[in-house]
Parts: sequence; C-alpha cells; structure tokens
Amino acid sequence: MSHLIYGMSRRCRDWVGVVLLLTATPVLAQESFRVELGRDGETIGDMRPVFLTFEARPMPAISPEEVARRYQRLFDSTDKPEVRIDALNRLANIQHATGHVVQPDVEEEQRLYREALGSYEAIVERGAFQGKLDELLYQMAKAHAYVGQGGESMQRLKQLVGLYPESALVPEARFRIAESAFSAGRYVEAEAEYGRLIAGDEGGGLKIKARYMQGWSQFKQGAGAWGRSAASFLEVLDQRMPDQASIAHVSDSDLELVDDTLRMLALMAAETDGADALLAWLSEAGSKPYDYLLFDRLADYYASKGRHADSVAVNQRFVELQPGHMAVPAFMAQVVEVWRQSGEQGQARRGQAAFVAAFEEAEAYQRLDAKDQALWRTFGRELADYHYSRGQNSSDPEQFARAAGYYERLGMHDAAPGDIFRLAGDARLQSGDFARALTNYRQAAYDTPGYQDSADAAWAAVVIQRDGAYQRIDHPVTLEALSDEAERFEAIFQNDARLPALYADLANRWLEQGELTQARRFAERVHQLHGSQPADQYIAWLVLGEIHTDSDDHRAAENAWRKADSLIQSGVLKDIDSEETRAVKRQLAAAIYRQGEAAQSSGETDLAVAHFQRVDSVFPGSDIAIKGRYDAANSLLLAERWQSAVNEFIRFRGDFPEHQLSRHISDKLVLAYESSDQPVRAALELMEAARTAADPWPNTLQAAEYFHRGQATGRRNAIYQDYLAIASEPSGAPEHLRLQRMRQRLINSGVSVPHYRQDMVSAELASQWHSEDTLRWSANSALALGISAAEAFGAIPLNHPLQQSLSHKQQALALATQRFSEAEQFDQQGVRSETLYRRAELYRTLAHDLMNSAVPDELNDLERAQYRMLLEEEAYPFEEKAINLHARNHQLLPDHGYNEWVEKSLNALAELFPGRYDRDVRWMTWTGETNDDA
Amino acid sequence: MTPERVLSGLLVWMLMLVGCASQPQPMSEKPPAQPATLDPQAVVALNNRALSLKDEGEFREAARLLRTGVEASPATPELHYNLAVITELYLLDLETALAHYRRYRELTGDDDRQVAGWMADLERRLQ
Repeated sequence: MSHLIYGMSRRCRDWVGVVLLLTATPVLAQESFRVELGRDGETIGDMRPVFLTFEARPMPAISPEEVARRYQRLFDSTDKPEVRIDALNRLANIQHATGHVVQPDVEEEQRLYREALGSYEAIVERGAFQGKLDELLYQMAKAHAYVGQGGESMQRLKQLVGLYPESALVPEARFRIAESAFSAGRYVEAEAEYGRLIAGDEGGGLKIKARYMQGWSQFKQGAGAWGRSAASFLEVLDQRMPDQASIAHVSDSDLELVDDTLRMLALMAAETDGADALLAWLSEAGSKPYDYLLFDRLADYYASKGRHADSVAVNQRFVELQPGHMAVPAFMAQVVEVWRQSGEQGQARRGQAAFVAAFEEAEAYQRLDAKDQALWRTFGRELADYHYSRGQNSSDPEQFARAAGYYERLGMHDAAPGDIFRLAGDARLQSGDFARALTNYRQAAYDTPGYQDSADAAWAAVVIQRDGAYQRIDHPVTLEALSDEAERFEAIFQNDARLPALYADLANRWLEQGELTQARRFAERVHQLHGSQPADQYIAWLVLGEIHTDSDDHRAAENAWRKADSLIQSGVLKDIDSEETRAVKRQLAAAIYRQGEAAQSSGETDLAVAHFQRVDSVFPGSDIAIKGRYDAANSLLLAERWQSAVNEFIRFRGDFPEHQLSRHISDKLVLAYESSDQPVRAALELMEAARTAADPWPNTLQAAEYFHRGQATGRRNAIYQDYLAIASEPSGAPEHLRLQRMRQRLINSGVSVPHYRQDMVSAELASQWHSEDTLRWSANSALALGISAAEAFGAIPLNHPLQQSLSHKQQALALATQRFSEAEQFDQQGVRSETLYRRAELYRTLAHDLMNSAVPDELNDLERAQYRMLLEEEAYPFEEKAINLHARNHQLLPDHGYNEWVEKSLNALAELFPGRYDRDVRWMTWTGETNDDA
Repeated sequence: MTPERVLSGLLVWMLMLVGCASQPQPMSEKPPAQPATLDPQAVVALNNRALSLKDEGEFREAARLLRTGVEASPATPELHYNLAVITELYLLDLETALAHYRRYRELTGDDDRQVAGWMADLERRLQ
C-alpha cells in the first residue's frame, strides 16, 4: 500500500511539493501541541491530522548549542523566578527555532519545566510580575503541558483567553484549547474553538492551521458534517493554492498540510459519492485551480483501496469534464497505470490506445511535455509491438494493420524513426496493405538521415514494387514504376549486392514487354555495377543479345551471345542445362549468320562468305552451321562468282549428301554452269539429278537442251529419241512445240530423217496447236517427203503392162501431190511457188513418160503410130495440167515476187508453151547491132 | 549500189553525152519541148543495164529504166521490145507489153511474125 501511495503521490509532489513522512514519529508527551497523521486508524476516530508546528522567533547569531548551554546555566544558577522562566522560554525558543534538540535529554528538560512551574506559581501567587501576565499564563500552560499536566495547561490558557482577550497570545491559546478539545474527541467544541480563532482579527498564520483542523473537527463529527468539512478543507487549499501558479510553489512547510487536506477531501468523496461528491462541493465553492488535484487524489485513493475501476472512472470523468486541461495526459496515463497495477493488461492497453490516440496529432503531441511525449512513445511502441506479436502468432492481418498504425504514428514523433518506419512497413506488408508498406519503407530508407539499415528498408520497397509488378501480390505496379523504384535505390545504394540481379531481371521483363530501350538500359547497367555476379551478367548478355538481334545489330548481338556462351563454358553458372547451352550457341551462330546475310545484301561477298563459314566454328554440326556453309556458296552464286560457287556447292554436297539443302544444289550448279557457259556440265548435272528423281524427264529434257547448247548433239539426240519413243499425245501447245522441235533437230542432225519427217507432218496435222516454227518445220518436212515421193514417182518406168505400171506411177503421183498439198497446208506462203512448180513437174514428167513409154513390140508400124497418138492424147491433159500449174506459179509473181521456182516454171513454160513464154531479150552492142538473148 | 542510184548516174551520164553532142543554146531561147534524145551509146548502155537488172530479178527497175530510155529514145525498137518482154513476163502487165510490141513493130517495120504472134496472143488474152 505504501508503495502504491508513493507511486501516486509522486505526481502530487510534482504539483505541490508535498513530501509525505513515511516513518512514524513517536507521540511525545506534549501531544496537545503535536498531532500526527499518516497513520490512519480503522475509523474516523482513529484518524489524526498532520503534526503542526508553531512559528519560532529568529535565532541569535551564535550557535544554538552555546546559547542553550548559557540559558541552562542561567536557569540552574539563578533563584529568581522571573529569570528562570525567561531562561526556560529562551531555551524552548532556541529548540523550536533551530529544530534541534539542544537539551541533553527529555528527563533533563522535564526537570527544567517542573522546576520552572514552581517559579510560575511563585510569580502568580506573588501577584506582582514585571512582565505581561498573559505571557506568564501562556508559559505556565506550556510548562504544564510539557510535564504532562494537560488539565492545568488548558486552565491557564482559558484564563489567558478570558482575562486577556486582546492579548496577542489569544489566537495561539484558542488554537491550543481547540487542539485540546480535538484531542479529547470533543469535535464540536474543537470546531467552535477553531471557528473563533478563524473569526478573530488576530491569528495570522494560525488561521490556516485552524481552518485545517476545523475541517478535521468537522470530519470527525461524521458524514453529516462532511459538507462543512469539505468547505473548510477547500478553504485551506484556496489559501495555499489561490491560483495555478501557486500550485507549483507551495512552501515546504505547507506541503504536508496541503497533501493531507487533499487526502481528506478524497477520502470523504470516496466514502460518499466519489467524483460526484467532489463536483458537488466544487459546485458550491466555485471553480478551483487545483480541482484536478482533487480528482487525482480521489483516483489515487480508490486505487489504494483496490477500487481500480472507480479510480479509472474518476480519471476518465475528469478527462471528460475538462478535455483540454493540462493534466489530462497525466489522468490518462494514470488510467493505464491503475489497470496495470490491477493486472488488467487488456484494459491497460486500451488506456494506452486512448492516450496515444488523444495526442497523436502533431499539435496535441507538441503540447505534451517531454516526459509525457516519452510516455506517449512508450505506449505507442508497446501497443505496436503487442499487435505485431499477436499478428505473428495468429497471422491475423488486422493485428498487423493495428501494429502498423502505431508504428506509423510513432514514426511521426520519433527523432530517428528509421527502425520504426521499417517496422511499420513490415506490419503493413503482413497486413496486405502494400501501398502503405511501400510508403513506410521509403520513409525509413530515404527520409531518415543516418538510418543504418536504410538499404534494407529501401530494398524492402523495391521488393514490394517488384512483387507487385510480377503479380506475386495484389499490388498492381507497372514495370516503369518498379524501374523508378530500382533506380531510386541505385541512386543511394549503388554498391548494394542485390542491385545487379534486380537490374538483370528488369532488363528481362522490359524485353518481354518489347520495350527494348528500357531493357537495354538495365542490361547495360548490370555490367556497369560493382559486384554483379556471373548469373546476373549472363542474363544481361542474353537480353542484350535479343535486343541487338531485334535491331539487326548482329555484330553487337554476336558479342553478347559470345559473352553469355563464355560464362556457360567457364562453369561459374549453375542450372544451365545442355538445352540452354545449345540455345545460346544457336543464337551466337544466328548472329554470325545474320552478319553474313547483311554482308551479302550489301554486296560484300567475301565478308559474307567468311561470316557464313565461321558459323560452323561456334556451333559445329548445327543446322545453322550447315546452312551457313550452304549460303556461303549461295553468296558466291549471287555474286556471279560461278566457279567458286560451284566448288563450294560440290564440297557441301560431299560433306552433307543427305542434307535436304543438298537437294537444291543441283539447280544451283546448273545455274552456275549455265551462267559460266558450261552447258554440257549443266546437262550432266541435270542427268545426275534425273537419275534419282521420281520423274526423270523434266531434268532429262532440260539436260537435252543444255546438250543442244553445248553442241553435244549425240547426247541430245539420244534423249530426244528416247523421249519421242515414249511421248504420249501432247496435252498442250508447249508440249506439241517441244516434240516438233525435237523432231526438227533430229531431222537436222540426219537422224531417221524420213521417219521423223513423217512423224512431224502427222503430228502437225493432228494437232490443234500450231506455231510458225512448227508449221514451217512441218511444211519443209512435207515438202521434203513430197520431193522424195516425186523422185520415186519419176523413177517408176512405164512398161508393159502399162496399166499396171501406170497405176504405180499414179499412186506415187498421188503421194507426192499429197505431200505437196500438206506442205501448202502448213505454209502456203513459204512453199506455194515450189509446190506449184513441183506439182507441175509431176504432170509434165507423167506426160513425158507417157509419151516416151515403150511401145509394145507386137504392134506393127501403123499400130505403133496409132499407139503413139493415143499416148499423146493421154499425155496431153497432163501436159496441159503441167502448163497450167506452171502458169499459176508464174502468176504468183506480183504477190510472191520472183524466185527460183517461178524462174524454173517460166523456163518450163518456155519449153511447154513457147508461143507465150519463150522470150529472149535483146542486148545491144556499140555497133548498133542487136543480140537476141538466146 | 542500188538500182536507183545506178539509174540516176546513168541518166546524168546520158545527159552529159547529149549536152556534148548539142550546140549551146542562147539563154533567151525557149527550152526544147521534147525530151532530149539519147545518143546511140547511151541507149545501148541503158538497154543493157536494164537487162542486167532483169537478170538480177529487178524487173521493176529494169522496166523503169527502159521506160526512161523509151522516153528519151522512143525510136529505139530494142528498148520497146525489151520493155514489152519484161512487162509481159515479169510484171504481167499485158497491155503495156502489147503497146510496146506494137511500137516495136512500127519502128522496125519488120514483119516479125513471132512478135506478131505474141501480140495476137496478148490481144486474145486481153479480150
């Protein structure tokens, strides 16, 4: 209990400077002059007011002990009553003034007073006293009291009051009379006596004590008089603490008085209506500057009695009544303390929460004194830690949120809030409030100068942004925002070992979004940062490789992929499987290959070939390496470096005979051979390709064409013959033209000429497709066939039997005529004149042969003559027909011009019809003679 | 050398010959209304050149040269004869041929039965 009281009184001491005496002072003999409180009894009757001392006169300049020794020697050496009384008074005054016991011991002192009493009696009995009798009565009362003769002492005092009412000693005498009554339990009498003193004009400092004791006297009379008692006590306080300033300057001598007064008011309130009683008394007495002390003391009282709820209620009541009072923080803190003392930790935390909430705003917080500000921070931190701990134990986000709230408020009022804001960030993070967590981490990291763990706080902010951006948490963040966060981190913590990995990751993410500029920026930063690890560098190289590839900077891309490959080969990377290794090599190879393509496009053939060929050195045996070899040859081909291209293609086919690209080499070799004027090689390449082709004829026929160009006629003709032997009816004009051309070339080569001429004529007759070439070729073939038939016709003699031989000859004539007709059908313009001539000659020959046919031997001369006439008659129509045909040929002159066949017809006509056609021009000579051109 | 240039050269040559054979005319006198006649050598050259053209198959050029000759030397029967043969056989211009055969006979006064037969045939064919 004493400890609790001490604890509460500490605040009271601060206000009024009261110090309670904790050690009990023994009750001395002169008890009527000394009253102790602080050791309350079980009832009101057991209670005592605090010890009251009287004012002393000023002390002499010499030491009290020396003065006391001299007065005691005077007292012992003189026999004069007045002198002895005076010496004794002075001894007592010295003792009162100094507070020191200057007498050797109590027995010696009592001896002095017993001996002094004799002097007093002698003076009184003598009736003659040089001094004042009121003082003498007073001294006698005091001596009686000192030696334990209370009744006599009171008697002397009452005599003094009665005989000398104007004496300056009356107030003290009245006080002592009242004290005596109080001590004797005559409280009504004491109240009245104290009242007389108070009402009197004199009394000075005694009045306040009288008021105090009057309050006690009233208190002792029971609850019915407590209203008066409270008024008395309030009057005491009014006098000692009339205003706010005086409260802090109560003199040491008044401390116990004020403290006990407060205690009595609290006690009475507690025993009646509590705070309402206080309010009632104050209502009657008016507003008091010290009213909060009353509530505080009442709260303390309740607490000391174990009535914690009542104590808290009083504190809270005051806060409610005067929320703006300067003592409100103390009242609210006391609530916490009471609950703690009572073991109600939950209530205590609620009290702390109320305290924190009441002063969390900057203005309110600033109004707190330093001690209360520290208390506010303590409460806030305890609450924050408590909720954080609960959150950890229960995984309840709400607990973390509450913890975060306290940390954040603490951070606002902490001189070095780095850790606080970081804890707030942690709590917000645990509660799922990522935005606020981010703010807290940033504050810890960037707004708290000197915070030693600022890097970790800043990193925590980065992690939130990163997890938000990567959708690991429900905190939508753009990649740009994450990048800004990362760069903010870098601006302060550029040497942080976590940064390179973050940048590598960012580079990768930007690349995935197609933002190549951003991706490149972060990837390049990875290589610039100190402490970047091989794994980070590897990712950055991969990103740069992709970027450079996308921007067609394949040289830079090669460098990036090569660096990535080097890291893999060095063995410093983990978890790189063979598939990834191959992927990097494939990219490296592709970068080189693309350089080859670029060089090829710009016409740098040698460079292109070099790039294509070195692909194999970085990724040997790969498809792209093989393609590089192939395209190296292609580059040479495009550059029309035919022989080099041929060599490369042949080498490629030798190295990769089964590769699908080898299938296209034949065409390229053919092109190279053709372009380099090597048609026979081109043809041979095609024949080789035809050997393995499902349908060999396309390549074979193309080879035939190259053989033709290369004048390899025999090889060409062999192909033509084979093809014509198996060729079906042409399905279109091109095929018909091709077949006819083959026949024409074979004819020109002298291969089975009659056969192919007949085929050509037949094919052209049967075809619906014709060209100038096919018609001309067919006309020539038909003409040639006609000529052959005409020659055969001419060779047939007309012998006996004439009918038979004539029949053969007519058949031959018909065949020749048919061929000539076919020739005209194909190319009338081209062969008309010749066929007319040849047809005319057929009839002319027939007529001639008829007329010159052998005459049967059995005929006589007449018969022979008649026979010849008959022959002439038979021959004549044929000759007429011959003339007619030659004449028709002659008539072609205007349209067809003069040609050998017209000339020949004219010559023939000159013979057959000389009267019309046999003309000789006439040359002239210088002599004037004319020469007929015979 | 093209036939046209040959002919032109020949005509120039012919005209020079004609000029040399004639006396200079006073400027005030009117030019002759009739074409200048060719001297015999020029006629020979012209006729033979035309026949060379005919042998080369240049029938129209030959005929044109002969016509020129006929105009310049209308009394030369060979020119008419040759022009008639060429126009008949090689230009198939039977009327022209008939006319020049006829002129040929007039100039020669010769009873060339062969030419007369040709003329009869031509007249029959032209009917």
